[in-house]
Amino acid sequence: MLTANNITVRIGAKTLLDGVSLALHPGEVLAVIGPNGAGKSTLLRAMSGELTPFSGTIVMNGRPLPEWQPRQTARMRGVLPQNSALAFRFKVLEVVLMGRSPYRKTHTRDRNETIARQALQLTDTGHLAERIYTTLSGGERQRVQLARVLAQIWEPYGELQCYLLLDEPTSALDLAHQHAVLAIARRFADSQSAGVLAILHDLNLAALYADRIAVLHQGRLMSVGTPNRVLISELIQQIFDYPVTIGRHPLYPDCPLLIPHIPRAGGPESWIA
Amino acid sequence: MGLAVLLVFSSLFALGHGALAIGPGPAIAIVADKFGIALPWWFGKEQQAVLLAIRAPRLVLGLLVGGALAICGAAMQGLFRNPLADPALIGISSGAALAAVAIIVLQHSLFSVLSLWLGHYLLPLAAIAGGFAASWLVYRLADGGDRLDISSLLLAGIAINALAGSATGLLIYLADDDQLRTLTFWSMGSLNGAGWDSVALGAPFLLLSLVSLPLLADALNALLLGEAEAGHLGFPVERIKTAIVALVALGVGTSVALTGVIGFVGLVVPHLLRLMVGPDHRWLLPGSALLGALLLICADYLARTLAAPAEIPIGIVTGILGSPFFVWLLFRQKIMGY
Repeated sequence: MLTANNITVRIGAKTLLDGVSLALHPGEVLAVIGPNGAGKSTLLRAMSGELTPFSGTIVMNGRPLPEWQPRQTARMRGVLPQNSALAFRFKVLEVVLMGRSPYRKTHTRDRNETIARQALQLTDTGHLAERIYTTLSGGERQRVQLARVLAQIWEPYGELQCYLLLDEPTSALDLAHQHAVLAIARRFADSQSAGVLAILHDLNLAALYADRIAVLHQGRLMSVGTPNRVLISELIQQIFDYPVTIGRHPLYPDCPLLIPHIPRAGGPESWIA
Repeated sequence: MGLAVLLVFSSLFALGHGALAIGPGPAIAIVADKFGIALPWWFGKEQQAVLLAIRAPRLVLGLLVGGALAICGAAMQGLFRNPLADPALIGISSGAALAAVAIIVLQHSLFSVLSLWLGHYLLPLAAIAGGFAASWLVYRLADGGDRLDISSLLLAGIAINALAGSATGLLIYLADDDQLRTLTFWSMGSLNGAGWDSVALGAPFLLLSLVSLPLLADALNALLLGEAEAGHLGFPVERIKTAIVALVALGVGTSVALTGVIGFVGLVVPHLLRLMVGPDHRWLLPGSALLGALLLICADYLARTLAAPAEIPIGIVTGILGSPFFVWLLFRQKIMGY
């Protein structure tokens, strides 16, 4: 389990996260939603160890995060950043192989390359393996980066659980690839019983793929639970300050479907029903 | 591989040619003779003396300094994820030169005690410290909390360069004629006057950075993804950054201490290499060392033969060759990425 225990993150006088407690269980997909500036990325950065909370602790597989060696941590959790700074002309395969750098001493070169190629296949980027990364489109880059992160935690680390932290993994993707990426995350959680935390803006994607949804607002955790419990119109309207109707997905009656309204001048009374 | 072979041939060529003609064959024979092997090439006493006392140490120093400058350039560019981050642009060279100039000018007044203690080591040690201080200052100025901002890095570099430059200018103003001649050497760089003593002085430092930096190749590759990403991959990012800055300050500081400021090697060589072998530091770093060594001894060959028997400072040669290349890079980078 990867847990945030009552963490508070401050930068200067500004409180980005205020006493947030959240547990990521093995085998589940946990979506984190919330308006811009709610502290979603901050939470992810704290849970990945990139950022040390002002107070509170992050515990991974039974031990506080700072007590793991960086190399051990690298074998237990992968982090997909929102966007990557890579501006040098690496081949796509080389980029994915960087995800295998924690294993350069423990695995053969061939093994690492096989895994890198499998990860590329999985993210539908196998055909790009020999291309130069900087010549790819934004969506292709995002999938290649996902392949890199998957390659990093491809195999279980002994008995220890693995975790995948995704910061807006679908932001640059078209409809089909958005679903492909979340299906990969879903399958990864099911087959490896890995815990997947994904920051998502599309609440319907969250409803379709997540076991639980956590709602952040102004640095506080407002609600966490199954999509049916969390995606209720009062909460969503209040958090996002926008009118919505929650219906049912016509194909999957268990799954809530969020239907946004069209804004009109004159206040909520004049919203089109 | 090709580079290594080319390097051996150019070394022999550089040994064999110059104001006094020796030729590659006799050059090999002289070196072999030194190790007690007789080869069927005739050479004279004068040729032997020139080669062993002047040309050989100069060649060795050229190889070491060229290699160190280029590998340090490659490491800097990796660290800052920017191919335009030459050690000179971020203040290491000017800091080292300022320290060296300060020692030359003020040795007898301010630093006499230090100079007694450290003797010949004072100058290179001061240059290393100067390079280190300047680069650390630039680094701190550009460090915006959790991430290093590239544009403020370059601006901070410009500021520190200007500061070091004017302090150097002030010292030059205070210098006497003898010191002035020595100072000219720092500003333009030259391998002239390299003897075995300066090789012995610099080789440990230069070799340390030449050998250690390639060990950080994996970490540098990961750093190109971003510092956070390198951390997620299990690299101890802060320690690695410090190690890189220290090794680069060591390599460049020592180079400046022994040969003055030789620009553009650290900028141009890694770029040529990236065009040849790609941006992977596992190839880029050793390759840069080889190509840097090769280019510097070629530039030194031009420097000492173009206007023979007079010598052009090598910094002028590398500058003339490097500047147009730099401009070309700026344009190319806009279109293709690095």
